[in-house]
Amino acid sequence: MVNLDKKRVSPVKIGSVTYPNPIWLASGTVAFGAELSEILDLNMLGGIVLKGTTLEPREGNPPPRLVETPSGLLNAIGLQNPGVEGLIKDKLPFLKQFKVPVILNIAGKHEDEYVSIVQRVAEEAEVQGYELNLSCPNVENGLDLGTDPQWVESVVKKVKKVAGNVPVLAKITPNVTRITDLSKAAENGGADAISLINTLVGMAFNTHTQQPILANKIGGLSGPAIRPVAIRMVYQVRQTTSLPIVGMGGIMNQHDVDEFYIAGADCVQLGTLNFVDIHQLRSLINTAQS
Amino acid sequence: MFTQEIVTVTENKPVAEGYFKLSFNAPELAKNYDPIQFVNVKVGSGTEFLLRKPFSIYDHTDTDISILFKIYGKGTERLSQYKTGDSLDILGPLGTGVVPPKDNVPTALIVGGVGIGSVKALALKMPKQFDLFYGVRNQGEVVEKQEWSELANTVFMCSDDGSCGEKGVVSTLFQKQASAYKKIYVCGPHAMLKAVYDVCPETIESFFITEEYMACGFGICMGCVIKTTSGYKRICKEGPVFKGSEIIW
Repeated sequence: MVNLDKKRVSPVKIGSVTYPNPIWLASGTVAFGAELSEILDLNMLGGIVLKGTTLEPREGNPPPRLVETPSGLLNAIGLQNPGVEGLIKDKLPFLKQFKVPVILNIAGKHEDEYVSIVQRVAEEAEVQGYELNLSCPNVENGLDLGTDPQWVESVVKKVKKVAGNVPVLAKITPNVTRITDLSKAAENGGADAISLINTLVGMAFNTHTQQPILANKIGGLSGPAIRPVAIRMVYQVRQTTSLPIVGMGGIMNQHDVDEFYIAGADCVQLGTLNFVDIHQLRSLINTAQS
Repeated sequence: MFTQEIVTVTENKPVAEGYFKLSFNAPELAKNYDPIQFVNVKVGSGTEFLLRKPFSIYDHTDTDISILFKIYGKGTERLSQYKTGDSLDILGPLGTGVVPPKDNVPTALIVGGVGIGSVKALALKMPKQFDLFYGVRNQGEVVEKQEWSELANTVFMCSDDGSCGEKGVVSTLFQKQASAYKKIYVCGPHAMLKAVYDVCPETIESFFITEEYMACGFGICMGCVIKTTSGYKRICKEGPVFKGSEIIW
């Protein structure tokens, strides 16, 4: 039996960093923290994972970028972000006023970009984690490189070489048949923790126009609809590794948080909930204060 | 500064065919919002509807805020069933509001259908030097006709079927008299906004109240963007009002 009372308030050690509690906020659902800080005390979080950052600025996809589906949110934002220089200049300084551990989410187009971003950040700023977004659609041949275990292992290995003491979290794609192939690959590459799950690939049509609703046609599904999938993957990965697991996927309340702990997660990230219910978000954060 | 509040519905009444005006008790909000700001409303319970739904603040009293909505889908249908005394979970005020013009330049409000729901708060705070161009599908869609005729200098109506005012679309109605105005505020479906922009002389300062599928309502999800001359901007945060010259149509 998992001791939930203890788990809910336990600090989480990943690599050389001890995060104060197990309630974190997920990448892509907090932007870079400023807007959320108007309504939430960021200091009470165990960690905040910033919006996926690329080497160069990205303007993102045209709208519509999102649509609600049953108990889910389908999105294709397209990694709109200011690029690593914009992150360093305009986003990270704001977060210095808070004591919350800041984890960057890094989205490279290829291996070298992950390395370049980490190197650039390491020169300029102090952060408490690099979460590698390893869902990497290769536009040219239509493949998602992140589904290839060899590629995952190789990226993690290269990033670890330049990350110094900062923990490297591998956020692997759930859009595969065997999630443990990827978690093992990340572990072999030297990852300090496994983050899962990212969004599931989905699609929705407008039945009147018979056109896809998202301008990008295909998007990533988050929210309670994907929680059982996330729980299953956390459970499966836990059977094969002793690395810390950062669980996420449709958490809306304490029951859902506990379910992730029982499945094998050491801490959790809240995502879609941030868009929906700040009261509930605060309640989960309060529960995590020891 | 915005907050999440559980408020009590004080009235929810039909005001036109398929249109409802829902009022709720929120004294702080009633004092502290700017025209064109909106509230993001949680409809139903649990994950019946996962995301909040954004509605412009239509009007207020000392203690209450009201929103105006048209039944489009399941969410608005559910909202129409709320009764006096029911609780409602709202987030607001959101978006960048409009400072009502103090100058008396000739101004027009141009709205299509439920777009009327976004401009009343502005109309109430403007000097009475504006005309209203109001396009609807048919007579049954007209909201608060008497009240608007008292608020505006002149109300120019048009309808798709000719049952109310001129037969035709509001952009054409406005075009005939566009030269009389220096400033316009426009709200309605995107195609209507574009049609007005296309007929609007460059000498007019134009403001468009935009909409898009929205999730958070306060700028963290990057979902509800519009393309502008300085890149994608968030309708919920930098918007929902944009200058016509700023939007990439």
